[in-house]
Amino acid sequence: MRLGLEKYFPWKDYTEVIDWQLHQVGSSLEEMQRIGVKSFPRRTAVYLGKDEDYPFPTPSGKIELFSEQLAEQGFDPMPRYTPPDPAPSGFYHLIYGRMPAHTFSRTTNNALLFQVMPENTVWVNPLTAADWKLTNGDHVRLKNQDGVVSNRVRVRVTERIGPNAVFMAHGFGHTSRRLRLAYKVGASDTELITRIKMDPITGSTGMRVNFVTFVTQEV
Amino acid sequence: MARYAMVIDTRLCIGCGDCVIACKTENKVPDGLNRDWVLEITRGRYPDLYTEFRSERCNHCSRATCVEACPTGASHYWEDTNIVLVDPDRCTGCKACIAACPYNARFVRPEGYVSKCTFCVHRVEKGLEPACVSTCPTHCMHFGTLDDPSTEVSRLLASRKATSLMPETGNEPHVYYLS
Repeated sequence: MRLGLEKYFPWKDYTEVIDWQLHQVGSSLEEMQRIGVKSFPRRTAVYLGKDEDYPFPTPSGKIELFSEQLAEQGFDPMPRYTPPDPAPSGFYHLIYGRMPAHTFSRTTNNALLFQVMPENTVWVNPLTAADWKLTNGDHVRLKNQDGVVSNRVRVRVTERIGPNAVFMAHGFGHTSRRLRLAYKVGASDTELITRIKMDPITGSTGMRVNFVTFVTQEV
Repeated sequence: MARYAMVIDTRLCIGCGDCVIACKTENKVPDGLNRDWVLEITRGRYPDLYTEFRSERCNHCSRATCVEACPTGASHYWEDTNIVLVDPDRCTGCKACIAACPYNARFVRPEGYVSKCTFCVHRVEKGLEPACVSTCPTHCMHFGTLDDPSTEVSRLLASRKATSLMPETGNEPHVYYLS
């Protein structure tokens, strides 16, 4: 109201907003305060029924592996594999992912989950480790193709990653001091992702297009 | 002796550690100590690999060397079953059981007595599953008695290839892994 936006807020206060919102779905604030949880029956089926005639929103009404619509727009009508760019000499594909103990970057400061997985490691193939004289538990920093250097992170030598790539779990290397457990523990994959690639058809972004090398001095 | 068993499907386990968290909160296990833990085992060379996650704990052996090794009777079987418990009031913290356990399942609590997995006997008494089993998000863990062939654990062991850890010790361990 102080901002002079009364005409966009025709309610007395926010409880009225919530009451109005609940009325839109067939309930009210009074009812929800009374019962807490309300279930509504599904109006649409969760899955297609057996032999159900379901038309997909395509010209043929079916799933189209070969799309005339894409061809008309000048795209490949069939999905075509584009190999990734090869890593520069001395660099490795930066592959990141999630670990089941943690949820995104939000749980690394949880005291119990911290005990299960306190830090992330950079997974290194034994062949790569031999080239760089790295052993399990060594601290390194990662430097990407644009010169960004990560927080220090321990090496995990494992066959679970190939010799042309390294892997690290997402969600670590926090920079907030208030995260007393997770502060500066492990390295952040996100800060090393300075480049993305965009799929020309869907516009979705690929972020596993960055390369890193090891900084082994003064870590 | 009635036999309780845990059957864990390693093909479903994703190694999330929820069994560890459930145990720590249910049994108030002190920081830095664990009654259960998850191993990650990888064999082979990239890219031909075999990886297994294995949730491990006390195997509740029906011929438990820890019970035999205990000089005070603190380590004992619960009510004529294979569930091995430690009586804190009788434990002197001598650690003979820790040396006798083939599975490294025991530890000394800060109070000075030995502790370990109890198969959550306080829950089993009420007809509940152990905390780790009840919390597992992939439902890869099962618990029950082997004396009745119709229980889930009996049927799983009858229908799937199962192994236990170090049965050659003669301890008759009762945590089984489906692979």
